[in-house]
Amino acid sequence: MEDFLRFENVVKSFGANKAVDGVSLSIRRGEVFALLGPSGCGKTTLLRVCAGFESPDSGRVFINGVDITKLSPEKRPVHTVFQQYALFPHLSVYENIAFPLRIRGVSSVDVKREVEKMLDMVELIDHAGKKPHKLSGGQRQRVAIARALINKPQVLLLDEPLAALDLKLRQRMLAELDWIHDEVGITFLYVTHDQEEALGISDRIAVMQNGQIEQFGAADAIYENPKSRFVASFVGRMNFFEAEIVEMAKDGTIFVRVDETGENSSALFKVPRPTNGAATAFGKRLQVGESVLLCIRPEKFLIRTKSSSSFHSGYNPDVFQNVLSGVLEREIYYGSESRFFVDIGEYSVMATQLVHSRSNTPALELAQPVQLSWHVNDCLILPLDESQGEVVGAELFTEEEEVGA
Amino acid sequence: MKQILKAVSKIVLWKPEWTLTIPSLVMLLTLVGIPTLVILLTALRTSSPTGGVGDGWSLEAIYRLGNPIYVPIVVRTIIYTTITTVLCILIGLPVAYYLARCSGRLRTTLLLAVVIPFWTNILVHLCAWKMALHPDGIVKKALVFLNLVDPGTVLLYNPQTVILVMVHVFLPFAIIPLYATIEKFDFRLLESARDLGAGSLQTLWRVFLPGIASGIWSAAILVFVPVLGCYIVPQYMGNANILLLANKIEQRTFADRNLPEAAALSGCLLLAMLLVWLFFRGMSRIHEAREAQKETKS
Repeated sequence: MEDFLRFENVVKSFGANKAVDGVSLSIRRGEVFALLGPSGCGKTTLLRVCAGFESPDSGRVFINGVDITKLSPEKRPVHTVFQQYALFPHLSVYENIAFPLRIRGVSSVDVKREVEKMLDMVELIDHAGKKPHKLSGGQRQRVAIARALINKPQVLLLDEPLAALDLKLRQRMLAELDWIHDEVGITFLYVTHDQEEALGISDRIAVMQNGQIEQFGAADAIYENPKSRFVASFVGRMNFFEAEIVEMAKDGTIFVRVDETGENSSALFKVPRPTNGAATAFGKRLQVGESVLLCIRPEKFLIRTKSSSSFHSGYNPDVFQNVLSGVLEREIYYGSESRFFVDIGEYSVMATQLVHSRSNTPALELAQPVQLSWHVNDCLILPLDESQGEVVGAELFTEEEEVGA
Repeated sequence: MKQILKAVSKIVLWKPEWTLTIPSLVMLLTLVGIPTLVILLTALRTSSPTGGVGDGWSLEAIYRLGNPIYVPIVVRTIIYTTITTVLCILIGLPVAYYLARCSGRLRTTLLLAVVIPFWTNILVHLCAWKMALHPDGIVKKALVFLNLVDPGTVLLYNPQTVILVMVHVFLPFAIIPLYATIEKFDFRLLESARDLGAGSLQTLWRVFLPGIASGIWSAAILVFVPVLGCYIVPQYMGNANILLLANKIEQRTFADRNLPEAAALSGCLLLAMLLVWLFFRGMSRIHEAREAQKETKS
């Protein structure tokens, strides 16, 4: 597929603060592309550069091969859905949606036809005459989307479009946005700090930090093969261990040891060598004795009571599994899943388990010894970046979750 | 004594907010309410040939309002007032916009620069203008020096000067309500309009002005009503050349000593102000209610 929306080495500073620091990005026609990152990472600035509200200090923006860097906002073939919707309070729902057509001087017959089509799509026909303040948050959001789509822009920019909605509505609107995208087929550039939103709606994701793109690729690639500790902890949840490489086999497998894990400290764990994507360079220069970051997602674990199995800690070649032994410390029940916290030496490790059925899940009791096992291919190693803070096991909450809660 | 205190405290506790209002109510009644009533009643009396109010009641003064000499005066008054109001709003809008958009100390300083003339007595303004526009004044000299006016031109006592000074005196009355409204305006709406394809002018016309309509109407009341009754500016800056309704009232009162007719004219002016005020207030309320609803819901 061709590159449709392209950022070329875009830099934008506010005073001494480099909000966007040399971003180059290619977005394909018709895809939903998410810019994901914590607040202040530059994702909104990049979107505003695309909309024309900020002019970049250097670098260029192209749509369909046309340089739009110097165009004023009203001349660009992009429309924005703002976080706070920015509906015009003095105009009715109908007139809000008709606004872009009225600006273009479209005849009122055509306006009526187009607006009604849009009202139909966002299911607001019955609310056409209302003023925005009479609508609920979700309805306002839909007006904003309809208004931004009616001119058939080449790119739709969405700036945290669901951030002002509550959880249930957010999930529903996400599904609706997905449906609308299928309907109109326009390229979406979706800015969010919510990794679930990003994973849920987008074809590809760019994770941003400090004005730069940390990693970009397909949603599952970002989730399964994060390139750095930042991406690994920002997207989804992750358990981190500080590990030392003990052995490197010719077939590409690596054995590591994890200190401060109590009875597991002497055990060896088998991990795959990073070979694909962003971590290839890192995988090539690994050496025995080097410290790395061992990462395992909580849902990859299988939890067993210790008495029911005879696996020993470390790698068990007959089942391709690594095993960690510990003590079940805490359970947080979420209905559909449970989060277990297991004390393993100095680490508190999180393991999640779907609650399938009460009857066939053997009850796990607190303060009892348990074993966490996972398939070799379900873990990965990353560079140990000391600047990212101490390694303590489960990173429970990303910064944004705490702020948003 | 004790019983009086008890009764007073009972009233105070019964309606505390009313009690606090009593002093100002009394003042309003004695200094505005009763005098207004006296004027309105005077309009229904006969005039005495010696000047002053004669005996008995009569509708003569009211009938005399039909005198055709009043027609040009009323028309002139309306034209002057309208021009002044429109100019005040046109000049006040960009000033208020700038005030609302600049920040910190600059804003405080500029606000003070708007408010201080607002507090200054109107006579001081007039003296200053008279000195500035005087044939030997600094403005006149500067204009002559720049070859912009002929040395023989008289800058004082013409319609433009009266309007210029009225605009200057009443400009703060427009700036302050406009500033208060613009400050609350959600400027992201302007970005949204630009984003949807509106140029600057269309954004201004379709989004910004409707958004601050309540402020424009308030500014219009605050300028229009006092200018309608403004007597001292045309008196000083126009001499006898420019006769507005308020000046005619003055003339009837002091020169002609026909108090009932002056009173009848005053009544008319009062009625006109009331109507204008009701109209503007109505418009302002409609927009305000709209904005208030928007705020509580969002």
